[in-house]
Amino acid sequence: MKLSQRDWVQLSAYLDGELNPKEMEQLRNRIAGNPGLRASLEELKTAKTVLQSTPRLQVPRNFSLTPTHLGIKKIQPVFNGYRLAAAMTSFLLIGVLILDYGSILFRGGFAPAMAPIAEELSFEKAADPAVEEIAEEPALMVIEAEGATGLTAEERSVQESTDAEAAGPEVMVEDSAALSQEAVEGLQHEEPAPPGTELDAAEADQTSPAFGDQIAVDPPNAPDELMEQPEDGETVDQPQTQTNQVIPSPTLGSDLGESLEVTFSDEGLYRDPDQRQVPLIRIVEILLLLGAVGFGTAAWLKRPRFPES
Amino acid sequence: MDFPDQIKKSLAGDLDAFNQIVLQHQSLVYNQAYRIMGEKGAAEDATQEAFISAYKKLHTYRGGSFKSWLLRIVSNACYDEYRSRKRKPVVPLFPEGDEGEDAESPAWLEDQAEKPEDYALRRELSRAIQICLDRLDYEFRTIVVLVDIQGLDYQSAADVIDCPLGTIKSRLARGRQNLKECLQGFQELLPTGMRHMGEVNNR
Repeated sequence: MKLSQRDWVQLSAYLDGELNPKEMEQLRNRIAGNPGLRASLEELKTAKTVLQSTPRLQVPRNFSLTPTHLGIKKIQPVFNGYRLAAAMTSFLLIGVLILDYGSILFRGGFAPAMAPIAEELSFEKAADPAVEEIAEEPALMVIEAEGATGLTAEERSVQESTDAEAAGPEVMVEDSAALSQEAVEGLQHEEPAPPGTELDAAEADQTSPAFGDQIAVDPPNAPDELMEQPEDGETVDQPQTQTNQVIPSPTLGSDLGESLEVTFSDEGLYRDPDQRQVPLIRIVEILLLLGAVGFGTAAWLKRPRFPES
Repeated sequence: MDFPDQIKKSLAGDLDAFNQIVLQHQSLVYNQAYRIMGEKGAAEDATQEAFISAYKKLHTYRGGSFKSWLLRIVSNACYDEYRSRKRKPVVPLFPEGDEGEDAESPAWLEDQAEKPEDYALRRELSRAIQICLDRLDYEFRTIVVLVDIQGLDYQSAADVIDCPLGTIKSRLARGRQNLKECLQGFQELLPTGMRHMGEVNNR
């Protein structure tokens, strides 16, 4: 008797106990009355027993996972410590060099940058030995004395430019006298003068510079000729410690009070700032250079080497 | 470290914890792969891919039977490997026996407990079973291995291959029917009590 496919499915499920109770009872009754079903059930049972007896194979190897299996690549450090340190010190060195020499180039070099100060310094330093030279220009000295000031080169150039319309310094003095009282007051500086530099009001009136003039305070070692006082005969016993330079405003006359005023302190006048900064920045540059070379050498010595094949 | 801790740490990216799970289940996975694929190299590849996939998909494990979850993954891996090898047949570099062992170093030489003739008989039976399994269609083979070799019930097998219970029943019956007929050709390899398979119907 040939079994239908449905009989095989029922026999297989019956063998595994996967039929519901009703189906189970019906099939059990059929098997009891049908030798062919019973024989087929025995064959299926045998086949299942054989399969269940299948020996379990030993694993041929370990299947543990590694990062390579998961596509996780170990990131090789592009920069080891030495390389990173060498690069950083090199960049720092470049930056410091740019700051150092770049600032010098930006200012046009030491001498031009220090021109006003340097001229005053040379003026001061050359006071004693150059008294004769300075005395050779009495007219200029008189003008300076009238203004109670010592003119620097830049101030002279400013003065010359403002005197383009005027014939000479004397005209400028006249111009200053012609200025209104308000303008003169606007030029008066209210800054507290250091001790010993006080000028009384009369002197201030007389010495208040006209537009474009400057108040150059005499340095300590200025010669007596340069210390020539205004007409009222008052003298400044102690040297001035600051210099006020009045830079002209484009709008003449009306904006005198807004004239730019630049104040140089004693330190600024008598010391070269680069003389203080240069040694420090040089030390930094040398240290950075040594660091860059040292770390670079270490990185080269520690570089990865491929094994020789 | 118990199993829940291993799962928890594996989910956190602890590869060592997951490898402990691998060591506990690699025999199950490899045997499933080998019985389905019928070849050592393919079974190894499928097993390795299954564990890689299991690690990546571990977050999809929602509890329950980890064995069923793992068998589902290896079944999918086997199917992928089966299709891949069907397109590009692979010839092993080293000769291997029917059990997937290297012919030059069979494993039975290392087994001191079992007599060589007993091992040979068992090995022949295993070979006969594998030959009959290989003759089954892939779908039937997978069900037969899951239920009769791995011991899963119908519902678990349905979960593993993601098909309804009725399909499991019909495929299993068909697979067993074909397997029974195949095994009749290896009567001499069967245990004594099983050597009369098919005689009832032949009468």
